[in-house]
Amino acid sequence: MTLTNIAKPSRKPRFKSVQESSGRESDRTQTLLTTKISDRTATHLAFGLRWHLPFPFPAFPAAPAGQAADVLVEEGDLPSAAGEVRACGPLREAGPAVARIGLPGVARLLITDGNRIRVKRHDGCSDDALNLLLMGTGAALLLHQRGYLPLHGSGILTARGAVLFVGHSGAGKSTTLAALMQRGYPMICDDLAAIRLNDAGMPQVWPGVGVYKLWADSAEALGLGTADLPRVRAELEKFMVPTGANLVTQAAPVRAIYQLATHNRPELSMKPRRDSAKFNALLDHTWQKLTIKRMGLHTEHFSRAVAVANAVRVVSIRRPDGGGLHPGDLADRLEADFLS
Amino acid sequence: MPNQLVWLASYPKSGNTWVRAFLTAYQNGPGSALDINRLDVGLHAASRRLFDRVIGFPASDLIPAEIDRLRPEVYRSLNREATRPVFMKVHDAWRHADSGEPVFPPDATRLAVYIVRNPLAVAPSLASHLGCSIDQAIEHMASDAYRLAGTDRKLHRQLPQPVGAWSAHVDSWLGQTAFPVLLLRYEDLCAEPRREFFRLIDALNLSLDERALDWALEQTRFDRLQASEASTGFSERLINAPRFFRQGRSDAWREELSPEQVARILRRHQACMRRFGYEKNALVD
Repeated sequence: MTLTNIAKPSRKPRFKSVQESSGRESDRTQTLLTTKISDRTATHLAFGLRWHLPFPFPAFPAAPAGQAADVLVEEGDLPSAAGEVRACGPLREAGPAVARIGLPGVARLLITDGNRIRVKRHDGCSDDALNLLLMGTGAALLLHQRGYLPLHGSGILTARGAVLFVGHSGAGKSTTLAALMQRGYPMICDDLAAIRLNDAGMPQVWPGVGVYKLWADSAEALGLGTADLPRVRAELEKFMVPTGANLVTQAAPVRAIYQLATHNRPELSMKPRRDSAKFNALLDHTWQKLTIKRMGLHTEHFSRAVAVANAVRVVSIRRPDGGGLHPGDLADRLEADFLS
Repeated sequence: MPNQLVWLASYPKSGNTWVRAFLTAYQNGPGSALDINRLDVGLHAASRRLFDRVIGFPASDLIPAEIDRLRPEVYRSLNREATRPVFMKVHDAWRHADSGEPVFPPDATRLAVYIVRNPLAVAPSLASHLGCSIDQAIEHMASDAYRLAGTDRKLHRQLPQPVGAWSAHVDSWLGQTAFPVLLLRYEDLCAEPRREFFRLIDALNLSLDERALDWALEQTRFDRLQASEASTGFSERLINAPRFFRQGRSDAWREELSPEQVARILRRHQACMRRFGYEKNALVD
């Protein structure tokens, strides 16, 4: 199978400058991509984009047939130089419309122009391991290039819009997500919340992929059996939980963002953030923060974060560290707050 | 540019926080009251947040061996960007990753400061810190497999830290030859704080400021640290520990350990304890 309308890789962003600065979706330039397709290829939906992948991810929603891809992922050698890039830490390089990351033992990715990811696997790297890199770090870098605000966050859809939980690893994002899904709220994303401003400048979050990750202790606390679940890594007691039909299919306006953290006190605290503290919470939980300046997106990212901070309620939550509060109790408090 | 990373290494509950508090107070200088919740003189070497930010891929999706392979890169990255010494609190045992490379890279290291404390005193302090019995703490300290943040069923705020047995930990840091180590005995810090902290300032090549030294010694008197914790709380206290700054005495163990517990610790760590005069201390008792 071959798609038509070949689009050559370009070192310049494909997206209009007004789109880069505003992040509004109506300005997005549709890009059609073409490649030789092998038998393993598949097209999936994630973050409001059609991803054409060189291998299937069964848990991800399939894209409708016959439509062009927004993002082409292809395997092959990576060029040694790819535009003006500068190091961002030991494993990443970034520049305008280009970013590279190499994770030892997994793969190297070259992400360009917001629409193409070239992958060079290391020997023995499985599809699942590549998936972790591609749909986490790789996707976040690409979303930056496309004018999104990608946050470290999980989220659900409520009758009043999307509710997101941001936080650093271990803050309880996925556990909170799972606890609220048990109450019937569909998932909109896990770990990577892809936010864009709509035509009216209001933030919307786009659905992620149809799985979330949960550690054994959280699954146990929530009464979720893990015997039949695949592990994220064979060596870790961390599981991939498929959402099935409980994944939102459309973008939703962001109603509230809860910033999760722990403290060493026995009580749960909940404090609305105001003014610059809202903005700082968004900056602090942005994926791939170190690369933003290198990509020349500092001003745009700042503007997006300000727009989201102005439009959305942000609440700081501190829960007792060490499992002192059952996830269901935290879900009670959150539910009471976001439904009020 | 000289290497900037200074490892403040110790077995848990051996005075590491005290030394960081001193360095913070010394660097802030006279007039600036010490805030124990802002010991911002350095970073925690096992910070998951630091790792994730520098590496760009979450450690939560990596296995411990992979994390160990990448940790040297995190530290090199910090060293490249540092313009003055960066103090890295570390409870890990010194070791190599499975790649053969030291986890704490010599090419980014200025110095290690190793703080050793009598294991007879560490045991009850560790028990209080972890919210476990003294017998359990003694077991941890005897186990080569002992790890902080080490259970595999949940995600911890810190990266997994192989700590190992008390004596093996001491040997790992003092036995390595990749970089120089300044040895501080907790008991000497208690008995002669001015002399010992002066040694620290000297080894770090910090400019000597007598007023700042006096100020820092005063700010980090144990009763003051205790009073600060009582009034503001301390973010490094684990949730099950009644308090972090507990006794600060070098001989409180005599009232806390049974003769059998003393004998167990002595049996397991005797050779290493002898090096620091701790064996004699226990036998005399």
